[in-house]
Amino acid sequence: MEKFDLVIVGTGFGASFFLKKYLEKSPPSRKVLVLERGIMFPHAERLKERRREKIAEEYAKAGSYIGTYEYHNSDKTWVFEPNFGGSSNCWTGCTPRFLPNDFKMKSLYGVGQDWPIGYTDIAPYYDEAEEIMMIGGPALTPFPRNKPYPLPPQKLSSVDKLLANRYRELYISQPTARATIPVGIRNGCCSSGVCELCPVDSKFTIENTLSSIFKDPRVTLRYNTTVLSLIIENNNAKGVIYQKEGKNLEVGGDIIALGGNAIFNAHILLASGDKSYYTGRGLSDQRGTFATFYFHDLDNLGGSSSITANGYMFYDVESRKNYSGCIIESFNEPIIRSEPGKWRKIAKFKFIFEDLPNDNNRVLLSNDPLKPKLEYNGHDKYVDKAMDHLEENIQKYFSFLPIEKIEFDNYFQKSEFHICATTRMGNEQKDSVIDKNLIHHQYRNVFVLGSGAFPTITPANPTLTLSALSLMSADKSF
Amino acid sequence: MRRRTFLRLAGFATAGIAIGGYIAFQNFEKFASKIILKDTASLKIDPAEIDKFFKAVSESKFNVMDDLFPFHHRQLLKWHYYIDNGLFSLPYKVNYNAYRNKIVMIFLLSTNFFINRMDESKPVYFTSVYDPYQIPCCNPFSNLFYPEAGA
Repeated sequence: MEKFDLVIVGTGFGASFFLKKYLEKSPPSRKVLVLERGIMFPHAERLKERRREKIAEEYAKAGSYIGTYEYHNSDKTWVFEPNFGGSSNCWTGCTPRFLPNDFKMKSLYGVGQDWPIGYTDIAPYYDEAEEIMMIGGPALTPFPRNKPYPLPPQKLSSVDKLLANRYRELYISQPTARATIPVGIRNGCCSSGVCELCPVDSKFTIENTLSSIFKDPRVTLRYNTTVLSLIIENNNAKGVIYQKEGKNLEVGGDIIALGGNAIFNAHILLASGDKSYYTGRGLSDQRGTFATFYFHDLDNLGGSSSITANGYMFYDVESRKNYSGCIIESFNEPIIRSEPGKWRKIAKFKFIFEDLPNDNNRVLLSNDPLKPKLEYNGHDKYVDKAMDHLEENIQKYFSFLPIEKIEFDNYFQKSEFHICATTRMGNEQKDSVIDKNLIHHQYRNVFVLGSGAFPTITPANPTLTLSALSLMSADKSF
Repeated sequence: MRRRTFLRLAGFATAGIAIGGYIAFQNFEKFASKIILKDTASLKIDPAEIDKFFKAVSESKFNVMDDLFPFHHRQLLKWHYYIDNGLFSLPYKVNYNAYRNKIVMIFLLSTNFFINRMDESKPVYFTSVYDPYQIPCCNPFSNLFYPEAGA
């Protein structure tokens, strides 16, 4: 059987940041195999497809997440990108850090679980991940930082400016991977407002910044390879079984790193015979809802980028004991109101609540070895209580603005595009799947990367944190 | 049932079906034109500019109206537009307002109106269909167009 020092599954954030650090710390003799289920679908070709221009047949066959799992709940979707670079191809580029208290939810608020690491453990890797992604952000933040962000902050809108003046570090220019000035081959963000596929290639993607690590002579990258399971002997992974062009193949590895998303990492473990109680359990995502603000005499102008700011006014407060913390996103889409003289006296905010991972929401095996089965029975009441208090909180924190009226969506978006908590990290096997270095409690040569590791999911976007965790895991382990 | 009652009921049913059919199957482009004309009445817009917009939309490879307004949005828009009145409104009024704003928005974003900083005294001309993938950096409310407004 062909054998490698390291076999990595996937090429998204978790896998790529882990690989980057592993290569930095490894001698030239090491051999790494990367198995990617999709293809390389370059940004330039994606743009052509979006413009309805002709693209090569090979790209027209690029897969999507639809049909990759069995699922029957139309209220909640689980979205990801199954090609090279993973969801870096479709993310929005929002990169707030978690707050120090996010790691201690059980101790401080009596809900969820504490993380086996604290903010100070991960802080140096936040710095490093922000350097790699070239994050733009403000000087004043609600989380501690040792040095300025690599790039300048994006511009606040006139509405944001009023909120920032009032709430200071609790209302900030959103830290973002949408480059605020040109950097490397990335252009500066110019507020096209369609971040899921940036027309000017401004946001960080694995393709535009980390492709070089996959060209390292130590690395072999194979496309169209879907990993089915680990080969386990005496609690040790000997390699993986993967499918390519309908054939099942085996490859050996001294170390295996699962860098798929939280659905497929859990699925691979379950298919490998992992009997840990928590494997696959806790499938969760934040829940977001919009509110549109109409102003008497306040034009909403001058913001750069598509989401200009984050509000933390009711994120980490005493009420978190009873209901979800909330992060606020200020949307800078070119929305208007059809009223003479009031065209842009309007603003749109998204209110995003943390959910508590629920053991009954989970990833399971199905009859098809390629397809996980998902069971999702809805989010926790913790979220609904937060939704019940939303109007009251908005009145409390926004009423100083010249508001004419507020229209609430009063429903949750179907996805915040963050799949979390199915392979939770913890100190012991009885409360988790992996340890603080993302190593499986039972299979000690298996790393399980990504946001599946989160014991609690926080209201903030997970990508920066999961990338920093990958850097930390590889740094501590090699 | 008496013949007169039957004829009356049949008449109502026929009228109902005819009106419902008109609402449901009315050409969306014509309907959207009507909305735009009504909601931009305060602006200096020659209706020919609206026609130019819809012509350009139909000729482009990427039909922005098809993308922004799926079937159920179109139906919600039309039924609200014709049924709502001062005393009665169908459910999902918030969605109706948002979709209606969006029709006007996509048209005005395709004109010089926002580039002229919403100056209602200037004539409004169609320029090109708003599509960030054809013309990036085109959010007319951003710092590129209002550098003095942000922090």
